[in-house]
Amino acid sequence: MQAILGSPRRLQLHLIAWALVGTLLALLARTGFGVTWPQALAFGVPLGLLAAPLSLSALFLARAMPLTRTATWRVGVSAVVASVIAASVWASVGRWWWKVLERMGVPADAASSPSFISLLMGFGALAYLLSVTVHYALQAVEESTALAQRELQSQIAAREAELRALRAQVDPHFLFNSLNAVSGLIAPDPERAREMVQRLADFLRSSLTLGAVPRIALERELALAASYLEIERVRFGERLRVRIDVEPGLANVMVPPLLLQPLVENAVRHGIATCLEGGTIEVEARRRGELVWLTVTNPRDPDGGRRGTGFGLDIVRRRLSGAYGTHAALAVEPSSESYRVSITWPGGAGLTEHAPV
Amino acid sequence: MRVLQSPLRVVIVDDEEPARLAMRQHLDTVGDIEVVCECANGFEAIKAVAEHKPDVVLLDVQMPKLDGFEVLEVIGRDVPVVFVTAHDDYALRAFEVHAVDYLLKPFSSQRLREALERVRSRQAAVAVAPTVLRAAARRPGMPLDRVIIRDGTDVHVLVVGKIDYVEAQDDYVSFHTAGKSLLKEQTLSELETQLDPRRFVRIHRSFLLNIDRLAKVELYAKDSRVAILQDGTKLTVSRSGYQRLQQLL
Repeated sequence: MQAILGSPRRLQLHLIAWALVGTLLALLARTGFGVTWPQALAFGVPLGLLAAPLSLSALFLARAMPLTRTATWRVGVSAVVASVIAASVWASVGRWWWKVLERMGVPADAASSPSFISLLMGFGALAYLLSVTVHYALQAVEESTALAQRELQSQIAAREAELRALRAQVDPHFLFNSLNAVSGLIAPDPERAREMVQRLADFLRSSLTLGAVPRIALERELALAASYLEIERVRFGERLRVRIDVEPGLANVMVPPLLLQPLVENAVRHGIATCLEGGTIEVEARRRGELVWLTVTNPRDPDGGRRGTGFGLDIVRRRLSGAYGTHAALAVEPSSESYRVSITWPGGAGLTEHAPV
Repeated sequence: MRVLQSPLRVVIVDDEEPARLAMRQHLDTVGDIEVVCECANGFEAIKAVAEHKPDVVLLDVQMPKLDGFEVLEVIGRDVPVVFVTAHDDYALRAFEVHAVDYLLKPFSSQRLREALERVRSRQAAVAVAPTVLRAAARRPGMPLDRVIIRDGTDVHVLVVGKIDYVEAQDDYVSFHTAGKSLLKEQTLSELETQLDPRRFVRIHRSFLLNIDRLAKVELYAKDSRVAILQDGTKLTVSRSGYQRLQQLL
């Protein structure tokens, strides 16, 4: 049904096609029955337009008997029967119309001649069969586009889920090192050990639940990063300093979850952990027109040489492009003494609400 | 009757304070241990080993500047080492360098006791070839990205990008960097296999050149060429060395 009645534009195309068929009929009438052009058109075009609603029965036929689930002979027989019925109705109306036109000077004897009826019947049946074919073809095209779209959507959803699952996996070494720190604190500072266990549990719980939703508010993502950094501060002590600077009004901007997390993890692992004296990790969020701009900057050892595999950044990049296409970007600015990663994504008015995926 | 035994003298090396705390408590539980020094990085560890001559070093792997394997490259022939790390993927490398044991964080006191028993029962430290130690100090399959050079009690960490060229001197190689030179006990051929072959080219039996430092090559006699570096240094280029240089360029 959508194929033709779905939009005014399609309906228009449909009517124009039948008007053209009517014109063809007019051409035949002019050569066959010796009428003038205006008379021929006055007969053909309205009759052609009448075929438009009639031919819609072909659409119902195509829908009721999909080629994939119906024997071919049944489709064939049904189409022929339907075309004969439709053509009979149409030819009768045609004959009546001709008689109406007789009052306006159209030759009177033509309508009773057998060639007139057979012309209308044959023409109508052929046009009907053609329209059955067109409906089947349209149906096939529509089905395959719908299938491709569904497939694409499920692929995107699956990839996003996969990437999110990858992110939700907490780095096992972070876990082992944290547990080791707890084990060191138990006897000399049980209060701190308890606090660390609590923080670790909170962090794990959040990263598991946040990983399951498509979008979260930026402030929750920032809170998760802050709680991660608090835990790392127990391990690194004064070596790890943190500055988080978020422009007011950005708290409720939506963002795919666990996007910031790999950036701060990298900042600790490849930054703070490589510096004897440590340094400050800076997290900054700003609005730039329609875009939100989030950066993570960390110091690093100029003689370090060793870097990560880029796997974490690659996942962030792929998730951004999955969620926002070309509207989002990830940029890296390495220098010998620091490393900065910035991501930008559209955080416009529509996206600050609880937007669907 | 208990055999009289002096306490085991231990150096703890870990850049994280809570991890050192954990280790100390485990050592208390094991007993009969004297912690002679606690170090927060590899430089301190190398100094402490030279100063205290401990019976064993309990060594973290991931540390700033010098990682555990690089520390081992410097001290490995002097003292037995037990690696202590949260990463299980270094185990193979650790056993290649004959580390006495490999503890995964967090570990139990019982596991630490076993490791220290192993240290005690060792009649004599298995001598590990320096080539093996050096090979283990780089990531498997990756070219070396920094060179560790011991200079008396000092340790230099030289990023390979800062090397101008390396010169063979008998059993040593001399690293030339920004007008200075640093000596390390190693052969030029061994070093050549560790460095990135797209960056370092053996232009002569005695010279390994950082290609980034090359200004031009001049012919000064028939079949005899000289490489002129950006700082004006001139190095002889052998015939086969010239071929290798051409291939790279």
